[in-house]
Amino acid sequence: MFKFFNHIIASTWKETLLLRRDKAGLLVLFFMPAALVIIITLVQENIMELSGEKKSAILFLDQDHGQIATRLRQSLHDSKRVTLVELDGATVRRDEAIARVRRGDYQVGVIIPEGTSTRLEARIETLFAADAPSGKASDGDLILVYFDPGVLPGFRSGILAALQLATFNIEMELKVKALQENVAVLLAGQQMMMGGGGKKPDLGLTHLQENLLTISEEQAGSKREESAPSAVQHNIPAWALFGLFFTCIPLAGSLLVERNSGIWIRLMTMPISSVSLLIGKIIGYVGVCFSQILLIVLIGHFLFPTLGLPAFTINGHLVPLVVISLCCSLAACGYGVLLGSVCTSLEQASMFGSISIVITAALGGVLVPPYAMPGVMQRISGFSPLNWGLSAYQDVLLRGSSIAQISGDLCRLLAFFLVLLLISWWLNRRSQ
Amino acid sequence: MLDLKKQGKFPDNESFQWCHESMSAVASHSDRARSATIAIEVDSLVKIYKNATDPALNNFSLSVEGGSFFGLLGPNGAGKTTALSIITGLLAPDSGSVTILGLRLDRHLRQIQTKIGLVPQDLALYENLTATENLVFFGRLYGLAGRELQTEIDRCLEFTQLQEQRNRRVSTFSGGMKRRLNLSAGMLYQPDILFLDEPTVGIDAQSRQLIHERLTDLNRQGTTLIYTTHYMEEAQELCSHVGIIDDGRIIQQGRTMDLTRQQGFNNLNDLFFSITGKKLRDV
Repeated sequence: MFKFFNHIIASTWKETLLLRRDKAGLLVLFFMPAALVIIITLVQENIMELSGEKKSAILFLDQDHGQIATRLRQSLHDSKRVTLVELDGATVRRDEAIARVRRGDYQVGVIIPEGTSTRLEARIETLFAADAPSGKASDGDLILVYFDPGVLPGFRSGILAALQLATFNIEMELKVKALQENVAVLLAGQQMMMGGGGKKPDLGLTHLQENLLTISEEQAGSKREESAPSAVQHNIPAWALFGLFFTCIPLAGSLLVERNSGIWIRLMTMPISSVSLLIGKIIGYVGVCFSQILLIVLIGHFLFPTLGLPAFTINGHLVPLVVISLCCSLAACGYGVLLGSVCTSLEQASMFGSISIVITAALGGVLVPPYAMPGVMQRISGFSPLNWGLSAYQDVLLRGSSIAQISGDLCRLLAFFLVLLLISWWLNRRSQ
Repeated sequence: MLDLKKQGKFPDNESFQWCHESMSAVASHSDRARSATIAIEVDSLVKIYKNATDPALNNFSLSVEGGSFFGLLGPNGAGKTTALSIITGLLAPDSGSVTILGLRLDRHLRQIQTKIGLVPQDLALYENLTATENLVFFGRLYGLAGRELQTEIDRCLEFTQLQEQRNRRVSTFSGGMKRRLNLSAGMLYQPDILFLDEPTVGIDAQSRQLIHERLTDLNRQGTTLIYTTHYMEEAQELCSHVGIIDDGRIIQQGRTMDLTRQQGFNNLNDLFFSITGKKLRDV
């Protein structure tokens, strides 16, 4: 066992030396994701706030069962910008609906609290009466909107605008209807007093401007733990992951150099296990991955504010983030080992590796968040290791999830690593 | 082997030849004596590669005496690399057996690997590491550390006259220097048997001469050398014994001088062509 660890240490030492000497390779590995994260974040910061074209799914919990819920439902449906997913307000509790949004199952949850319609109708009924008190909407007239902490500001603004328009229309329709009735009564009274030289009747038009239904915007997670969702909070982990997976190319190259020279033959005639050599190699490259992530986090934290962007924050989630980074690094290394086993030349590995990573990154939500993709693509996205990594990062950074809560994604990343290692081992064995 | 050498159980080449002749003369003791001095015993190896019509090795048998300088000669595609790969444990045969220093290869691979060294034809070096760093890495894999490792590295670098260049990266080395360092890496841990696959390909005359001298020294110190080459003059000069392989089996095997004389040739080159012919072997 001592020998085994000694071989791992020797292999790690050698790999670290080789990596340190490969200055051009390291420059690409560190410079490329750093440049990407800066440029893409700067570009997306505005675009994401302006866009909102995608038809979004909204979780709709009707605890009111009155005309507000019915009209809001109809209004949102008519807008054709959203798809409503109805929950039965009689059986599903508010907490459950919020939990589904917090988990990221849905990006938005709209809750119409019980009695909203009754209170609004009662309020409007007296609104245009001569003795009506001017007042603000009570708490009962709030329509609650919960957002997945992972959604970006542009999406949030779009949904809020749609909801505000819908509630405004409903409220205005009810007010106008009440006003019509009130006008008829007032006109009848005016006719009776005709010739009396009385003053013009007060129609109570100022009440039209009163806001009786208020959209209350909430985040579905615990506020203490969440970071404000922004392009920065999305892009730092996304592009860090993207760069991290590119380490598979030099790793594959290192394996190919050894295999295509006499080194592998020499190593295989030595009294050592190829597993210890591989572990040593992987440790070296995991070190590179961590250095990459650290660089990008530092850029996000210190450089971004100087460029007018919000600073990237980890909110004290260091341990889960290190665990995720380790799992992602292992997944990237597993892919590198597979590339090194399948490809026959460095050119092949570079070409195949870079194209496959860009595709996997696009599928995984690095370029466009998965919730903004068409349904089919969202399902395919679930098979991308970058999606597992990104989802785990966002769960921790934006939703404050614990390691246990992201264990599914972590297990998938580790399984990906192990399966690829096994395939590589089988391929090497077969080629021998 | 280290111990055997230190105990003087492996004589130098000349003594060994004398010893071998004596043993041959005493027929009744020959089997026991041979088993004590046979370094490599290969019995009826067969290897057929997938999708190949002809076997790469076809009942390949070979016996290499301990302390000999054995040249494995053959045209391209004759089966030299396959034979070497199987004997060094890189490749599994379809049938047949290999015994190295009295240990069956299929049962004692790890143990055998501590007793053999390999100098592959392709350079087995990390170009971006210095000469010393390369040797430190390979030495550590042999379990060497600290002062012992340093002493061994110094010995190997001195042996191949690379002490001055020890801290230079391999990428800055000439072809001859790389070949010498390749040999140094194979000599670490002082293997009992050193396999050399065309170790002088493409280098200048001076480096070749130095490698020849060093290999002869190494052999005198008791190391069994298995040497493949396409240069017949080289084999004639260096090898005490040769085996000529063609079509996957050994055609001729014996002491270099005896073989050429017995067949009535002046040199190994003529013998080689008489056995393998002059037809080009494009594989």
